[in-house]
Amino acid sequence: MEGFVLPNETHVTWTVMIVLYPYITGLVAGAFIVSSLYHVFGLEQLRPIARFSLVSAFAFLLFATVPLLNHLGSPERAFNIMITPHFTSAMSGFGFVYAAYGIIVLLEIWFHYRADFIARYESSRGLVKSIFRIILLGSTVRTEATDRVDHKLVKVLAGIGIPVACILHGYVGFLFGSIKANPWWSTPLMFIIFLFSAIVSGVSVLIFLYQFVHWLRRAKINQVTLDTMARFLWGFMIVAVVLELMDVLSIAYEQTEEWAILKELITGKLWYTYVICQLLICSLGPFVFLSITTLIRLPRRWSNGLIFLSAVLLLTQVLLMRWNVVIGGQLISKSYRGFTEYLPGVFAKEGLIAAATIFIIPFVLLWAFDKIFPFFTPDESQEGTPDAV
Amino acid sequence: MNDKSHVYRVFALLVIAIALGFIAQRLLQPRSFGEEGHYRADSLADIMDLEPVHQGRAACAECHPEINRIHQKDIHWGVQCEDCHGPGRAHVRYYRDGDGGITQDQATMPAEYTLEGCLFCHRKLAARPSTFAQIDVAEHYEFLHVTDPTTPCIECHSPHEPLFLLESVSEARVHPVIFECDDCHAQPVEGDYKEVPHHPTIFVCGDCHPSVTRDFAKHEHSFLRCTACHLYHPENETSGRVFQNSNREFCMLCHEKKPFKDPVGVPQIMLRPHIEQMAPVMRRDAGPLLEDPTACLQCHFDYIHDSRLIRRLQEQER
Amino acid sequence: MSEKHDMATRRRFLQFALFNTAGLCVGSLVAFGSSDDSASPSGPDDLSRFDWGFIVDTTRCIGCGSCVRACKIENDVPDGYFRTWVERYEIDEEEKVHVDSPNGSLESFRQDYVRSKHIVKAFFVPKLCNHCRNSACTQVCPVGATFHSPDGVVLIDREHCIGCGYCVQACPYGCRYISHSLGTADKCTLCYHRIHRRLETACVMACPRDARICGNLKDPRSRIRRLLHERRYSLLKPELSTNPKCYYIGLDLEVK
Repeated sequence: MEGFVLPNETHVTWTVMIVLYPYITGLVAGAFIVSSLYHVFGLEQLRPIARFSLVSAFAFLLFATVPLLNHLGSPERAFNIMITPHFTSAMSGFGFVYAAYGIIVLLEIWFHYRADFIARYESSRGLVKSIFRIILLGSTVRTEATDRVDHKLVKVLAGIGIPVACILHGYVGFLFGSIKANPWWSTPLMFIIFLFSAIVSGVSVLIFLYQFVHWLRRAKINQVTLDTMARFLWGFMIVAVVLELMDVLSIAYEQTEEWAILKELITGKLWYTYVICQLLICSLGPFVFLSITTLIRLPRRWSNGLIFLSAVLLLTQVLLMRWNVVIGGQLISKSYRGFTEYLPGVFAKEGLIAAATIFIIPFVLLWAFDKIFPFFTPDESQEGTPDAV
Repeated sequence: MNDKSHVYRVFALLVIAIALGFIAQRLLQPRSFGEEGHYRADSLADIMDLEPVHQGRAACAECHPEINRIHQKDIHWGVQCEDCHGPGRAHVRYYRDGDGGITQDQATMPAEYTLEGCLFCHRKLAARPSTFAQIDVAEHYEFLHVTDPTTPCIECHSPHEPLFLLESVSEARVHPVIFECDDCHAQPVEGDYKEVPHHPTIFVCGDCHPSVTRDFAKHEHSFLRCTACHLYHPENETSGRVFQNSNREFCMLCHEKKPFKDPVGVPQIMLRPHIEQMAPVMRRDAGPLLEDPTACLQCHFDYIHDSRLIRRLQEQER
Repeated sequence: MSEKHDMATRRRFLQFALFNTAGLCVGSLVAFGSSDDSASPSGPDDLSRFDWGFIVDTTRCIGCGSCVRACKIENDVPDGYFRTWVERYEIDEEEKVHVDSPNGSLESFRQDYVRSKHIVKAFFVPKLCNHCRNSACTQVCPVGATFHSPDGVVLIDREHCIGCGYCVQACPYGCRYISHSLGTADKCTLCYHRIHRRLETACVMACPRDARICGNLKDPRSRIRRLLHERRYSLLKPELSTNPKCYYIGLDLEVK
């Protein structure tokens, strides 16, 4: 506690769970947009990662609500948000946007994987066969014509999915940006900052997983794909960081009433997590590295190493950004006269172990999915064999 | 046509799911939701039906009319019974309503007449309006020659009538504002403000009552301010109420002999023996004096003001 | 000459005082008479005749904490959280502002906060929910669990609230908290259960200094309306256009 905080502000209301929630939805939106770059905009270089990114988006999407449910005071009433949505609230759309997005991703995966499902259906027997029959809704016929239809629908769904993904994640930004009571949150830029940082985190996590899985399996990566993703990451991170800086700079330059307290926040409570870690280490570092890998020809080992490092740093950057926004904003007393304190417990209900568990489960899910339908078949990562899409 | 059968199936499933969702949404809406606005109208009644815990002075007065009467005439009239005694719900339920679910223990009001409880209001703090009665305990006890610093206020002040006013607060005279030096000066000041160049003119008691103050200055209590006995209670920026306190209990606040007081310093007596012993000396009848709330002033008036002066003033008024 | 001048001022002052006296007598009739203007509706149909408002007279507050204690007990407010509290502002000789509210002033204040320097100005400010007309908290509730009652009180439906905490973030005044035992948001109800029984709110009742006044803003003869016409008041954070219905008499610029 520093200075004066209002008596009800000694406890931070939104904990590390609410840090995790936009982080996970950010991964969802980012990963989905990468898959759409291939499906909608036909970026062939991204084909090897397209289906992986789509399933990643779904895996993260499944767990995006878990931190929220863990945080709710009365989680058993969570569905009230859809039963009696109060549309003056930015949060009320959550259930619908989330459901719509979930349906789109699910449908897209279903159409995308239909050919694989049919192959499994035909090759299996007994219970597994009937499970696949149910999954396929009884339509077990695959022809060139159905493939064409599926392909087209995936493209349409991916196209619809882009704005919905933007809404899903941008709305999280709006949720913070529209709180006029909080000077650190209240900015119309918040929407777009969240969107771009979401894409950054989504691309980063894909690069990270792609390289990590291939390293683990001693498999050869598709250099063109990786370079393309690194270029995208470079571009998106520049926009994201510039927006983040613009926001703070404009408040600082305007010297508004809030700047007095925000300056103290930045140079005090958030000095390490925001200035040192988020801006200097995790933004400037990847910017330099990715500039090098994009603009200068380096030995592959070197450039891939730098890309991997950048992806990890940017993943951290986005997590730090979520922390600095969500927690940072709550540290400021609404009296503008002091700061409260927050340290997440380790074993607490909303503590670090719970957070880590929630964050790790989607990766486990991806691993399990990969066991059934491998994302990266050896020949695919070499050249990219034509698949059902 | 067969090419798209799976598409129809999946979208049919989707439409059914959405339709079911809508039906579920309708069915799950809480009763009375949306009747008045976007909320459960019944929740108003839920909140209204909560039972009040604090009973209010009127409820206390039903059974304790005498204490209420004393309390209402004195300066603590604005202080609620439950501010000091705690909430009265259990007490009222047990004693008035005969609620069997409450034990006598629960129904007992926790009295709070500790030193700290009084100091919640009366501790000297810079942020308290200077016109509000507040004390620095050490200073106050030194002034009164109290030797035990833990002495609770109620040893001298009755919480129900802390100043022993004889007239009711509501009947007290409205008087233009009285300035004291410390209304503006945080540090004690000495001397006459008129000797300070450019000091704003203020009205002191002597401006309107010159003969009384001149007379008072000659007597033994001259170290006190007029407002020590003519208590002034400000009500707004321009006026307040002034009380003429002639109650013997008020005099005894300083002059009563108490075990926790240093016997040297202020003259201290025990009221009853003092009247019995001194009445013959003063050629008075002790009986009526013992009953008289203004007993002290019957003999000691001249030690405060010159009695002739008061008589003269009264004649002028007539 | 100067004596004559003095006499003139004195006369003027006495005249002034006389008028004030008259005014005060009328005023005290109201103050000491039975206060029936806090009358409340008999049935829910009458709610629209009411618009509850609140006045905090910061010039009268003595920081005793009676309101905080009464509120805690009346509404069973959990430890560490407050529906009302009292803040203390002390400005030292170097014009530095010190603000504190130890435990919401539940046990008043034990000593001056600034002791090494001379205090040039100091005062107390009681705070509670402003029951804003254009409240940020009700706007952001995603499920309609917090709302304006027809008589203008911002309430929470404990049966419907999901405990997301969005309203806690949206309130610019820090008047809301999450009650961990209930799993819902919680806040001042303006003692809704009391004002509908023709009782004063717990804090108004407990205030020994008459520094808090609650009443019907729709009634032109109510004490609250009269006071608002008589006195100069301000609002907390008016720039946020939440349009509070809690009016602060004698509010200092330092109070946010």
